[in-house]
Amino acid sequence: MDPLSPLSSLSYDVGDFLYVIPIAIPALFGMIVLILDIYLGRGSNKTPLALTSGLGCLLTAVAAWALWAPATGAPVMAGTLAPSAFGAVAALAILIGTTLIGFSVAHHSQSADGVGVDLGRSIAHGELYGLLLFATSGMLAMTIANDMVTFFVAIETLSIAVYALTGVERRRARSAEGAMKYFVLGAFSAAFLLYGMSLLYGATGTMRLDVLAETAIKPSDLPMATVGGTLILIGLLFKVGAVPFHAWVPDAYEGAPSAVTGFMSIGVKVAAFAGMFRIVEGLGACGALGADLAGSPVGSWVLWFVAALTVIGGNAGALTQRNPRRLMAYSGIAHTGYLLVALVAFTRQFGHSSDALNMTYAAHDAAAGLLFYLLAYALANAGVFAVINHLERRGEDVDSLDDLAGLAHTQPRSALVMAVCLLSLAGIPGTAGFLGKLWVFRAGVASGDVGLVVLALMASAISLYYYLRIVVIMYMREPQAGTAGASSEDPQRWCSRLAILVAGVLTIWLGVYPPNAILKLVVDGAQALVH
Amino acid sequence: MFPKETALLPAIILIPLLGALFNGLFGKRLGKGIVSTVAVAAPLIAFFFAAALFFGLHAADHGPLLSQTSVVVLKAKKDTAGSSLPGRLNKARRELGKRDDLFKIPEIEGKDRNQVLRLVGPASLAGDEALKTLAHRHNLVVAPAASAAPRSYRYNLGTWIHVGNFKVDFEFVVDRLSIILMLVITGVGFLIHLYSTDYMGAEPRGTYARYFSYLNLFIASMLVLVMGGNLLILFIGWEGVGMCSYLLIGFDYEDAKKAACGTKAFVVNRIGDMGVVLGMFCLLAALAETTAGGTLSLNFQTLNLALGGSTLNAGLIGAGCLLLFFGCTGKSAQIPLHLWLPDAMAGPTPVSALIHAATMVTAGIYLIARMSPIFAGAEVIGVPVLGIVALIGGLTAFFAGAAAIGQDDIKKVLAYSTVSQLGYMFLGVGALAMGAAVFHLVAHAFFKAVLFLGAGAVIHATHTQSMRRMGGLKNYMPTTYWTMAIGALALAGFPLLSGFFSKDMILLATLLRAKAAGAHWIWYVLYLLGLGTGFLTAVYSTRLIGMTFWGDYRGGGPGGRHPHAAPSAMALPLFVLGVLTIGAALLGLPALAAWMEPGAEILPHYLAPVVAQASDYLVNYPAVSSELYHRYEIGGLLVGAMASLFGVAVGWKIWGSRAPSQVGWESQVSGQLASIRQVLANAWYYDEWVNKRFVQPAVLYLSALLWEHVDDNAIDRGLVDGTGRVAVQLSLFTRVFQTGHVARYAAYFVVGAVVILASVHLYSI
Repeated sequence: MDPLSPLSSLSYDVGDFLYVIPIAIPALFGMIVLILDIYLGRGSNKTPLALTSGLGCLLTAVAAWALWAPATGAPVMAGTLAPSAFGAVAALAILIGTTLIGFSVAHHSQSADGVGVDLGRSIAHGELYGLLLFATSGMLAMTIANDMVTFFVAIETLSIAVYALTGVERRRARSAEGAMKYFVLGAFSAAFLLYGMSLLYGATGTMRLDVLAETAIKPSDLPMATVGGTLILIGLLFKVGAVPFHAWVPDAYEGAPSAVTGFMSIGVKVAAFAGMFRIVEGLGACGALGADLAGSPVGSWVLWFVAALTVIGGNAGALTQRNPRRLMAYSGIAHTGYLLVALVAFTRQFGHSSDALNMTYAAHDAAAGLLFYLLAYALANAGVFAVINHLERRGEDVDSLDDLAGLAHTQPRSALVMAVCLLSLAGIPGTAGFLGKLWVFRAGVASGDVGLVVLALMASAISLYYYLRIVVIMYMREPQAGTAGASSEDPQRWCSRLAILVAGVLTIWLGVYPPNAILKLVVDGAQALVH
Repeated sequence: MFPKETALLPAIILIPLLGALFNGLFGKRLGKGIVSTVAVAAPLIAFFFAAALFFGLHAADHGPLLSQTSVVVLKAKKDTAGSSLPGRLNKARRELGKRDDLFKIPEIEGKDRNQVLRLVGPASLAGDEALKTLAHRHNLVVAPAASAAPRSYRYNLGTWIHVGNFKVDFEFVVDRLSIILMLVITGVGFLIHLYSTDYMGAEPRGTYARYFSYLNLFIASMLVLVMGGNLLILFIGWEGVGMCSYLLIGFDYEDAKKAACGTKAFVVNRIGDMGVVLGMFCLLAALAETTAGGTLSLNFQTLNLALGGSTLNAGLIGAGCLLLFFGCTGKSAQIPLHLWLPDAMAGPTPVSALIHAATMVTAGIYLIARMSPIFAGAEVIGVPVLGIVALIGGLTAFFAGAAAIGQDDIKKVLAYSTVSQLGYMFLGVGALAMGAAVFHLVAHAFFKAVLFLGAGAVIHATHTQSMRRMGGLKNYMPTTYWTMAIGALALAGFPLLSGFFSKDMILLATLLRAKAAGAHWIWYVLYLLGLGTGFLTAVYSTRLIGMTFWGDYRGGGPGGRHPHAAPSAMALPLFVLGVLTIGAALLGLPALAAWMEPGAEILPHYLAPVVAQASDYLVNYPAVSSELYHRYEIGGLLVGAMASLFGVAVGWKIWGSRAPSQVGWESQVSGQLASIRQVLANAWYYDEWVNKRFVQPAVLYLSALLWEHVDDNAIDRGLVDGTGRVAVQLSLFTRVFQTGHVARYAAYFVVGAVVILASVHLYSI
């Protein structure tokens, strides 16, 4: 049947529902968690919630690996989804975030002595886990969405859940403020995204990315398509927190409770980047990224400048931060910048440069680099936030880096994992972050963007300062009484300790000897994206 | 080819390395017993392994012919005319350029010039079908040629550097030359480790472990130096021993003076090392032109085959060899870079014995011997590089030997003596008597070690290094006296001891070189310098023994303790080395009998297949007949013996036969004698001169410029602090935007969106 006929877009196999399973499981478990919370009652130990959501994530990961990884990226479900290994890797990165962050806050509802619970400060109730899982469902859908409507629904599913999560600590003003700001600006960007999509539909007559990629737009419709494509790009650049659309990031990250900040910094970014690469593939192939300028579409030059601004802005901003969440916010912006380098390399294939074959290689490298980078980034951020969550107790927020002073003396294991994860974020060899950066920057060099790569390298050299400063504070300062860093390890908090351990071990493992299965999945994912 | 034993190659290096690591990491927490056991065991095991390799090489020599590489030549078929032969050879060569398992050398000189193409490659080369077809196509035939590679153990850890057609393997090679040095390094090394367990016994545990860690690391580095299969691996060892030397000279780093001595050694060596690196580049450049696009490597075999006797890039090769020799003057303490070695005596005495007498300082001789085919043909503006080597060696030998007479510090005497003896070795190397130089190297390692270790025992017993405060120790420490006396006599070239024969062999080579057709008259001067040095050596050797052991004990003072005899762990190495000093003579008994071939001495003969210029005097100097050779040999021995005996007699007359109370007469002499003494005591004021001419101006101007202006102002304040400041300013700037007002955030968004849309519009629509 002709794929473009109206009828074909409504037909699908029953077997296609298999591919929906990884999206459905988190939603299902979100509901289970909410119900379970009612049975557990107020003030009780909420560890079962963490375990239940962890189980859900595990099942999802298995399902994603089993069902998405072998798929070729051909559209299913009436063209709304295109499952592939690309989506599987992104899903793994997202699930790493959800699971580890969920585990690391498992004990937040318990007071230190296990008796009284201050509900105002307690966040680890059913809503938290429910919203985490609903957002995860939306993120997973985003990584394989093949239809712009599906894509938009997915992005809103996750966004609304995350707006609510930001304000989950409802008695704290900063939390509510952050949620409000995030919501207003998020709605703003959603308008750009939606408007761009409708313009593009007007120009091309399709919402499907795979069809879009094969559409030859009439020259008279090209301006509309280009404006539409650019608006979509702007909406997505907001989601990943690229300069100058990044202003919400520090405020939202600081306002939200650490648990939510950790989740946001991983899940939202991974899903947004995965979706962005998929959409850009469609935009670029149909020419909606603009006309050729020196061999590449204008869109890739725009991204070039955005990437340059983002690596500089993110790293410069992080230098003088004292609040760990704000620092991680800027660090996240900086990582957005590095990943935009990969996106620039990725978009070079759409131009008509004389070096087309090499540009395809570079695009392949960029997509593979992106996936590995996302895994490394998810692990490292999960480790950092797991440690922060582990340290936070009733009344003992980690609001200043000084609170971490002397952590290496009181909790050597947590401090070690934190140090490893920070080094991974800085891209020190021996950690997953190094391989991720290497891969991404290699793609940048292959696509001829040496200047941008050099800039990113210099910026990441600057980043060493603020990452290492935390290590210095942890290892070379004496613990200060009354701070989180001064309290010793609590053996009862095994859930969060497990999360910390897993993040540390995997960061080193992926950095020193990445297993072949993962590498194969990453390369398959890139293959599915770049034909 | 050598399936089992090759595994010993990395093991020999790994064992001392692990010992160093073990003691460095855990030694502080463990007892001295464990530390010393590990430290002493490491060189001993390495020595046994080296011995196993030695016998393995020996067996291989007498077993079926085994060789890893084979050499074939491509030459014209018998029935074809040779008119266009060079062209055909060239074509074949170009076609072979695609095969990188081959090494192609055109015959540059001799009757085969432009008649054959020599190929070095894997053992199966002679039967290689592809090669035969190729040869047939060009009307050529493949013929086996004499093997270029003497049997050796080869262990390749894999490719280290591979850039373009430049390829360096991490390879180790053990052949006859390296095995001799390995036996000396591990054998003498073991004895000195053993000696050190007592000598350093009073040190605190941490220091003790640190000392042995460094010492083991030195053994490992030195083994890398002599086992490295190419120049770059050699250079790793070269730098490694330099670092260990630095660490051990400044071992007592809390003493600023000693630390400064370490720094001096390090800096002077660095100057020389620059020569090695530059030399490497020159040779590589020469090789690149010679092989014309083939695989480039720094492998010794490749370099020697390709560049030995090559006239293609004579300038580059000459410059390269001269620069390498400049590096040797640093490491082996020759003029002009000899000035660090006397200061190196700040280190513990066993270190002086091992590093600054027996092993490390001989690295230069090893390097030239290893690359002797290249050095033999190298010329710089018409002057043969080896002539320069011999001249430097001869001058160093003489001036350092004279300076040794003026020293009162027992270790300084030995230090200048070492510089002087190394000069002898370079004289031998320069006269193309590589075998003689290596023989002297081995003999010197034994007798200088015995002298240093004896001096250490004396210092240990008297707590002073000044010979004026010694004297009469003969009665207190007889073992030390007798072993040191043997060492000193060997050093003095006393007839029938090892030093006598080894020095004679070098002097004979110099004389023969002078007699060679067309030789420069300077060779006669060098011979006389060598002979004179022999006399001076005998004088200061006797003086050393006289001032230390004869007469009455002048140290201690009122209530001072009497010196004690050396403990057994110190006496045993002394005894063993004493025996070796005597026994080493056997390695180089001269070929006196008329029926003996010239160059049939044991050690040079052993080295001959590896070191091209080890012993073939007659090939080098066709002017000298075999009969004449024997006559010179006997004459040289007699003259040498006379110089030595005369020197000993002079020494005996001045320092031995005087009344004990008069030993301090040196400080009371006046007039011309006193000024000579001053000059010698200050070693010709070379240090002062260098200090005034080079060091001080460098400190004043260059260092002030580089440190204060370039480093402090430009780099530290400008680049380092500046980067930080710019970044922080940028950071503060970004904070300005973060006002917390949503409306403003939305405004940024809109501005960004408008700019992007506008630019897309501008360029695209």
